[in-house]
Amino acid sequence: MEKTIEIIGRAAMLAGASFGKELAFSFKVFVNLFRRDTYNSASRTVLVNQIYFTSVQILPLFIVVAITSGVLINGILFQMVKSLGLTDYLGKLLTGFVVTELAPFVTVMLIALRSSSAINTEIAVMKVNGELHALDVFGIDRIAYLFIPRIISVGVSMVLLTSLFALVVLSVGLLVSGLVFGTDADTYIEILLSSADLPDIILVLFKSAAFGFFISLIPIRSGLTATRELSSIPVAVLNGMIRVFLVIITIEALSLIPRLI
Amino acid sequence: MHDFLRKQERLIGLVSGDVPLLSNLDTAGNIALIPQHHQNMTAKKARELAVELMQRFQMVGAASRRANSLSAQELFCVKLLRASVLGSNIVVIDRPFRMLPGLQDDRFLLHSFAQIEDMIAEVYIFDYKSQQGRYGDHQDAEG
Repeated sequence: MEKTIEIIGRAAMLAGASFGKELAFSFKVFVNLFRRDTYNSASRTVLVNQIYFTSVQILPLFIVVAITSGVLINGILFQMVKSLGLTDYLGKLLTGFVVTELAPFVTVMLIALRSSSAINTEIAVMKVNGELHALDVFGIDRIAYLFIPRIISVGVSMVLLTSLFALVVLSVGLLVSGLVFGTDADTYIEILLSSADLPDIILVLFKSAAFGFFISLIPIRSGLTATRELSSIPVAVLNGMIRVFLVIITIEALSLIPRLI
Repeated sequence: MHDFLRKQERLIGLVSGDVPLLSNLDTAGNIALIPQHHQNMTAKKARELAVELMQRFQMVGAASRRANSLSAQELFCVKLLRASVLGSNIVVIDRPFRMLPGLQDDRFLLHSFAQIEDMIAEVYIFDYKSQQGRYGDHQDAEG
């Protein structure tokens, strides 16, 4: 019994210490986000490149996914609304489900699969190769040069791509609405505008930014746990991606709380 | 030696096999990164400076290449330029013959230093006593 308590206690202390380190690292990075000297020429160059890698390169795939999702979701949603006689709730369903829930979720999954894994691997490889040590030797601030541009680019990409996804799906909805109900564009837009709530929009933007911050910060932190051994790279990436998945679920669950109150 | 460098109040340019170039930047990018970060020089100007410096070693053609495609001597020159562009006037070289295993003596090193003599005031070389024979009389090898 004593042994069991000892094991649980040790595990709890380790988890607490680890959580404390994560929190301290997050705070340090967050503070640096607002420091002016973080944004020197080198950081700005990395930021532009990262925004291109995260936001622009993904666009073709992203638009295809958005259109496909739009056709499927709108098709099912409109048929259900019609058969259940819930046409009065169409606007609320579209804004409440597509804009605030589906758009950030699909976007975060795509960006996490593509960019978070890339960031995690890149940092781990840099650690193994001694490139992080090289940055230290030349007095280059890792947070300003490596971490902040990646965090900002993922955050900005999350907000922009979430908005784009919602826009594409709602535009597809316009076509489906015309086919199913014979609704014209003005009526459709009016339904959407009358159903849109400012708190919902603020919530979705805040949620997207939070997703962006954590799905870039966690892979960075995880990449830093790699050692000088090559075999530590897959371990760092594996652990990082599991934690990214857990944080996505956690933020998703937390974002539901304001809607339930 | 790395601990010694860490204790210094100012940054000292280090050329070492343990301090690699960044693999996600080309050679000119690795050199340009230093003035971009420390002097906030624009990306364009910093790259022009890097290419200009590489010209001293007739390496302009290698400006867009990555570290893994360079010969040992080219890699050494890029690392030397990166160290000298730091602006500290002091360059420390850690076991040069470990980075340049094909060399028999220090003539290549002296030739390299001559190309950047306007940028550096002092060069310190750390090496094993066993390598003393590869240096001329003008150098004191330290164990």
